[in-house]
Amino acid sequence: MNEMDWIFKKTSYSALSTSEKEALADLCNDEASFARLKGLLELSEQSLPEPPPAHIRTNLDALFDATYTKPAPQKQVKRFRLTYIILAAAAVIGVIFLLFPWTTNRGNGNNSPKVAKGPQTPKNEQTEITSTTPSSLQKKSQQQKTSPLVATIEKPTLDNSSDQASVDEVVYQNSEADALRPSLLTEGATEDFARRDLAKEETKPQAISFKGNAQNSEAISAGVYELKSEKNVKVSKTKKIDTGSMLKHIKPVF
Amino acid sequence: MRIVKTGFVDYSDEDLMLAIQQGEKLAFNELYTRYSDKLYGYILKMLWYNEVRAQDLLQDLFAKIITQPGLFDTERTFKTWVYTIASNLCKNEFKRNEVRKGTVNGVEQFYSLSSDSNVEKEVHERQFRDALTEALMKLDTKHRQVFVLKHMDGLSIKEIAEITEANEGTVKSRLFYAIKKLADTLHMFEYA
Repeated sequence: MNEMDWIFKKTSYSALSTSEKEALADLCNDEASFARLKGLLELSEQSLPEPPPAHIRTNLDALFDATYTKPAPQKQVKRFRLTYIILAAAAVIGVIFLLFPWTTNRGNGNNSPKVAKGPQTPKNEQTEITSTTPSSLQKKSQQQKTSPLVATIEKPTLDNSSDQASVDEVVYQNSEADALRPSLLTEGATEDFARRDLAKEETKPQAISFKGNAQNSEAISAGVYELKSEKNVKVSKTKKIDTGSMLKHIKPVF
Repeated sequence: MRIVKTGFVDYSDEDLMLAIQQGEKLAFNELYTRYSDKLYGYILKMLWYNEVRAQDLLQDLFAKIITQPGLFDTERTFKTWVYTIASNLCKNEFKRNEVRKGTVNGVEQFYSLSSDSNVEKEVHERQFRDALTEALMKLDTKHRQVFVLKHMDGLSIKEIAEITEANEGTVKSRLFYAIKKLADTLHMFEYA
């Protein structure tokens, strides 16, 4: 067919070669039919463009605008966001500068009370030592790790004379209480009580001799340590220890 | 001062499609200017000059380009792709049987007389074109299609073969048959 296009560019049928005439034998065989075909094709190719109506273009423009976002509003939104971010940052910085002097003054004021509160820490430690709940034990372990003040509670040694004296006193008082307690339960306590007063003088050397036993003294010191710790935490509990002095004030009822 | 984009005139059809995918309206305008007349004429001839349906199909065609530019097969040329879509739209129209043969409503208005031409020759040509249009409409769709694409829209045999999904030899034989049929119909015109 490309050859046919070239053939119809020739001016007349007589100008065609034999082979070309054979190719067009079914379409044309003389000058008139050749001219007719040539005119047919030329007119077809020269067909005037047929413009579509304008409303199609209008509809398509509207469709395009609806389908694709316009770039101009996007830029406006970006500019608005940028200005908003800048204003927000400026506002935050301004607030920080306004609050900065106030926070620094308050910070200096807080430092001095912290120093004053220093001595209160041992009180907290003592309460935590006596507490027996698991949560308090955990806190205790944490504070033992953090604050070195836990180590200030020392186990009393035998070499300390004042501690030893207090140990002796406690041992004496306990032995005295043990000696008196059965007499209160029996009838005729007055006589026994009088005897116990006499025996009180006799038991003191025994308690003192008790001091000489090293093993017992260690056990006693351990007990005293426990009693001391309890005494520090709860004062009410310490009254139980001083049973001897309490019994002194008890008068027999006749 | 706002810079107006005028560079799309030099763009190829395929580059214009890429620009349309990015929302460039001027690219679409350029593409519409290049193809709207040809496609409208093609659809109009394929639908026996049913103007209403031809306008609807043309609008549907460009609406597809706007809304679904990704459908464009980049391995093909835009020209063959868009004519394939137009042909398929026409085929669908044939299947619906909504088109009636013989609705040659607007044939006359497309061929206006020019004042400086030879009136007698102009009238003769006009009569010949009217006869050609009628003869074309008597052809079946396949032969009319290849004739319009080849001799009215100026597509090559290869492009027509791609659009019609047929071999080049088949296209040639269809075209030869169409010319022969038209020549037989128009044999009373002694165009010289």
